[in-house]
Amino acid sequence: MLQSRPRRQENGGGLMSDVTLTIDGQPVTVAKGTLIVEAARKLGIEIPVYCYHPKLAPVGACRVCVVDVENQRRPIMPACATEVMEGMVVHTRNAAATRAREGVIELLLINHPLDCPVCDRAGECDLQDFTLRYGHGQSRFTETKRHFEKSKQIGKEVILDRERCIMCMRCVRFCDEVAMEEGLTIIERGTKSEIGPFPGRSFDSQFSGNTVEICPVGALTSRSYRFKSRPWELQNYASVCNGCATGCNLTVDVRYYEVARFRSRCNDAIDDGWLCDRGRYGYKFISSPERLKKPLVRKDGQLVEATWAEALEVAAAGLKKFPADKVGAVAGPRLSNEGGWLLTRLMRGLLGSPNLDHRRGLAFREGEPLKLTAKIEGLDTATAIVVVGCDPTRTNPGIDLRIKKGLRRQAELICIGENGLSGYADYRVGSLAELSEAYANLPEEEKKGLNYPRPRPWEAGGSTSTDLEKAAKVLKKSNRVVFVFSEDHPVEGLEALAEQIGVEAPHGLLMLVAGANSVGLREMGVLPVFAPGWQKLAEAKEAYSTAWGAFASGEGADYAAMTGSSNPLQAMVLVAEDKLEKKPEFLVVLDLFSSAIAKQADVVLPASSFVEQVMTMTNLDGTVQLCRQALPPLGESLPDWQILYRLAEKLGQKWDTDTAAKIFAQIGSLNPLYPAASYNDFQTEAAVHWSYPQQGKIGTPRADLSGIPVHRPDAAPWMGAPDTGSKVERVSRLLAGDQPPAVPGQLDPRQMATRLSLVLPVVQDPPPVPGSRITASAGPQAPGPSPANRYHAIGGGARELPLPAVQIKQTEAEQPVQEVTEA
Amino acid sequence: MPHPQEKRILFGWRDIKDIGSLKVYREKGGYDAWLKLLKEKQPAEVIELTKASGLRGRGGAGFPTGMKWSFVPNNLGKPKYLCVNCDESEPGTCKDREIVEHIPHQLLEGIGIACYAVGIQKAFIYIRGEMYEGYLSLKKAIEEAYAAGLFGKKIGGSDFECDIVLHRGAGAYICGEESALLSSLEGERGFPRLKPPFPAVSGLYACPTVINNVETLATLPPIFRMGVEEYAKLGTDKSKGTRMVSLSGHVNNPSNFEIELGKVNFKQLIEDFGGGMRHGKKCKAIIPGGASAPWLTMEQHGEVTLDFEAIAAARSMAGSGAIVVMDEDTCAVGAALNLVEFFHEESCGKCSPCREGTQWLTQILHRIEHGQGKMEDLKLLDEICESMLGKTFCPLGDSATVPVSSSMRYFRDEYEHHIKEKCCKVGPGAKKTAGV
Repeated sequence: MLQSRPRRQENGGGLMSDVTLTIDGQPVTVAKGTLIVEAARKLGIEIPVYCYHPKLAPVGACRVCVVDVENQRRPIMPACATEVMEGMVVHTRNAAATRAREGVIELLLINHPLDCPVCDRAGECDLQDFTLRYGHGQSRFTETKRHFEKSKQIGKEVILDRERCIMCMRCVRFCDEVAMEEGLTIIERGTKSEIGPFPGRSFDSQFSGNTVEICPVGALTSRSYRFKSRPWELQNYASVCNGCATGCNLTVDVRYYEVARFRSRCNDAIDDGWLCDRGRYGYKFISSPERLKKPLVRKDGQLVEATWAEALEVAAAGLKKFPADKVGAVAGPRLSNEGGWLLTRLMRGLLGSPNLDHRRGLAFREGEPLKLTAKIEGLDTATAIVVVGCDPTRTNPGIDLRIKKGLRRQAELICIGENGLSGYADYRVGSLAELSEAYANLPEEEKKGLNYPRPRPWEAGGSTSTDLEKAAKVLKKSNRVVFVFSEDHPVEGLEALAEQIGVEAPHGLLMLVAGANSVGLREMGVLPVFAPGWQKLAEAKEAYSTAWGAFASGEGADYAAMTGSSNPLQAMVLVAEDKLEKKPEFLVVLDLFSSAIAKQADVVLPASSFVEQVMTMTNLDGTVQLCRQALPPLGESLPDWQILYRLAEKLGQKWDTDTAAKIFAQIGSLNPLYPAASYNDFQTEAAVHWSYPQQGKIGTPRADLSGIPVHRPDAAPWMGAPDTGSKVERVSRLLAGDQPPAVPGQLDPRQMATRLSLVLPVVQDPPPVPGSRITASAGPQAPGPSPANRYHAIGGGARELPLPAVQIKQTEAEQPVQEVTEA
Repeated sequence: MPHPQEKRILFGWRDIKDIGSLKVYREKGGYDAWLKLLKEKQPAEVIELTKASGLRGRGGAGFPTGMKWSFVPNNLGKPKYLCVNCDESEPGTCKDREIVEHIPHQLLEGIGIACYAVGIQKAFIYIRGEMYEGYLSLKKAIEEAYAAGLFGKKIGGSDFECDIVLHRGAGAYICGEESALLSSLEGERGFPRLKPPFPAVSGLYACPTVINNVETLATLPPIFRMGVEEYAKLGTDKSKGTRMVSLSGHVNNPSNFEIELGKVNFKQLIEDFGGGMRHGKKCKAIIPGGASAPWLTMEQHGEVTLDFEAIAAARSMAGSGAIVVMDEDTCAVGAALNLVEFFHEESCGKCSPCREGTQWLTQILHRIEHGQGKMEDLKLLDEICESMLGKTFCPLGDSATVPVSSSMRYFRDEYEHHIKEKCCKVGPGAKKTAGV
């Protein structure tokens, strides 16, 4: 543990009162405990920072944020570590502050190599940007710089350049405070200080990529992105990770129709600004040569390439051949809400078959869904977190970090069974039954425990108590208890215990599901015993019959039956599912890759990945989130919903939901869990929260958006300006000389970074991708970012480039399905 | 033997044979003052008495001790701790070492008084790792005191309980800074911490903590033995009592002396206590309070008395009481380089101005010292000092600028000589002129 405790209370602690102060002559009122740098940001005044990071405790080490505060013994104060006081008068731009800041930047640069031309970070480097904005014009340092081995691989994905390091310690603090692991540390002291893994160890963390992202300079770079791109060549799209059901928000950075990297796109309610390495580096499959690019049809026992029309024809004919109750569908959790909705419609509405399911665990038992009241955010405010027989560190790393955040605040951790968090547990309990019993046996009035910071297990060497009574008392502290459990493990008695404690949203049961959109698919009705939105089949029949023409309201075969060895079905549609023990007579597979199952199929239809389409997913706490399209579909692949739409067409029904947006609108109108909202509601809110109902009764509408905090992490709208047509501005082509520079004449110093691009070779535009609906041409320029958002809330100070923002006109959501042009 | 002009309060028993043993210390009446306070006074009264004695912290900052104690809140429901700062590493300072080696029980008694006054049940002594002799003597003293029931539970038949933990540091100057000391004591890297919260509210293990210097605590028993009023009569109005000074450098008799504050000036100190300058040379400069204190010159400041206010008025500080004397043959550039190298070596590296600034200062001074300097370097030195001063995380960075700025204040001609003539102006490094 590097940082000194106590840490600043992340949410204040007691009563919050307001403080009014003056910064650069402008009055501002902020909550007590706010730091000067945060108050200044509220006014749109930029104060440069390196060591400061909003998700880490203030450390005040780099001193670049120095400001001049009147009436202080030491007037030059670090804005990132000084809390505001009533009547404080702060100057960020006066002579003293400017001179102090210049001095600090000059000192920071004395040992920093001038290797910007070969540094990955150049163009999005805080040191570069702030030096241009606030530094001396030139260095007076003529002595010898400190030298280290230039690049050193310290982990699977992380490469360290110690010469570039400015010792802001963000990475060390991330490992220490957020991941709570012994990841990186500081070795030696003074100018000899260097960052590194603990001697004799490597940086093996499943969160290592976050250190690369928050590094304000090019000291930490990732192997996957290193030397691959320049930041100003990238187009950024808001998306959502589909690695697991946590639903961490990410930005897809695309360079020439290829994903260059994923970055975190902070959503306080979901991911808190972090990504796990599995999600962050899990993009390589998108451009894999193994991807299916053309439909395949079995001819003479062999799967051969076919046209879409041909393949769909064969698929439709095959499905029509069998009676409805012998036809079924299984969907894997990669499928979007839109795809799931059309799959339900295809099966229940068109084919009249109730046989549809997706991989499921214990979301409902005895015909009733569980009361899942917990939100991920609830872990922050919980007084007790009980991990019941599951391992979030393995299945849902984002939840792992969130549990640790809860622990750092006030929660006590009870682990039932061994898991990756056991070392952090205050209490380890053998079974839930034991704990419930101990809880039931507690006397009515139980005194509250002392609340002062006590040595926690991870600080005191890992000693944990198995004292059941003490563990049960922890549950008595308040009703802010979160039970984290997995859909794959029995949870007998969990609901009863939660009820006894009287949990309320956002606390209660938090179910970890493995698949990215498992929750969404369940709510889309991809279930044999429920209609969409957990409605009773009989009750829903009327509404869906009206909307869809017909609705098979019987109960069908479930996942186990359909994928098991005694599969009763004769024809099946498999979407992104890789388990099937007995192949039916006719099998249609929609997938990205030619899996073992696909190799047995009669028709294989190539599907697009989540970055190649506009779609929504619902994460494990019920938050519906939108993925923007970042790439054209690979080859001839199509989004799953389009494939299903076309299949319905071949089966003789022309549906009115011929765009993703229309499907989403229909979901809103029919599914009681989803509000009558459109994609445009995501336009300003990158993630819209439709929380589970406050009372924990699943089944009531959760359409009320008022009063639910909405997070707006991304300043850029998800769609371009409304009337610019489908245009993409390629920044690097402009700079490479195809056209005159956007701003002729002398470059503003702030645009200096762009000069670096002039040394790049002339880059030809890539050839048009077949089927692409994005065309490249010079488009209108958006104004540069305002000082307030110049540095992103998360992920490294001056992240936004001082370049015109790249605007993408997204057409996928609005454009109806077109006839497929045969290649 | 004590110097005849010393005023020995703290060191009153220093020269008694075997005073380091509990037996002799008890025979002389040691621990009685504390046990008497336990029986007769309330803790709040002890704090008031300490305030009345006018005792100020002897670690360097000179903060009133009783006042420091009174800042500790009683209502947090947390344990309270005392940390004894025995990480004495300021160059030239060696008073604490003599205390722990020779009169350890007096320190322990002082700890007892402080703990009783503030209501502390656990005291930590953070002793500099290199002070092995002191560690052994303290360890033995603590064992003896425990065996005699002076620490532990039910001390002196009262309900008061107090434990002592002795912890050895691992050799970092920064750990003498109180918050870095706390970090180190907790097993973390010896980095100073942000303030606020101040240690009095949230210190060791996030609990209210008092951090006192060894000399401060060891002065408490004699104060209560002689009575606070008597003690308060000593010294000046604001700097009361006596303090240890560690006189070193080019004097004939370098040693620790206990002097009455405000009654001795530098000239007297060097002539009367130090036995005059070595080899009869002239005194050129004085560092009055450890390496962090701005230099003074004999010519201008010989009459400055040794108390907090007088030295502050001379634009320096009384600091840790380490007085380093330089004779006329000392090259100011070389001396400044020596000190800056120390701060460069000891900078913890947490904040950039100190980490990078100490390196740069060292590199430039090194260049000047070795005849590679340029006249522009002097302006640059000034500006680097300005970039560091007041911008660093803790006082270490400020201190690192002090030898440069203060030596340039008084001996700029030597710097210029070094640059122009590529040699020292004075001393053995001075180039001999032709024909001599």
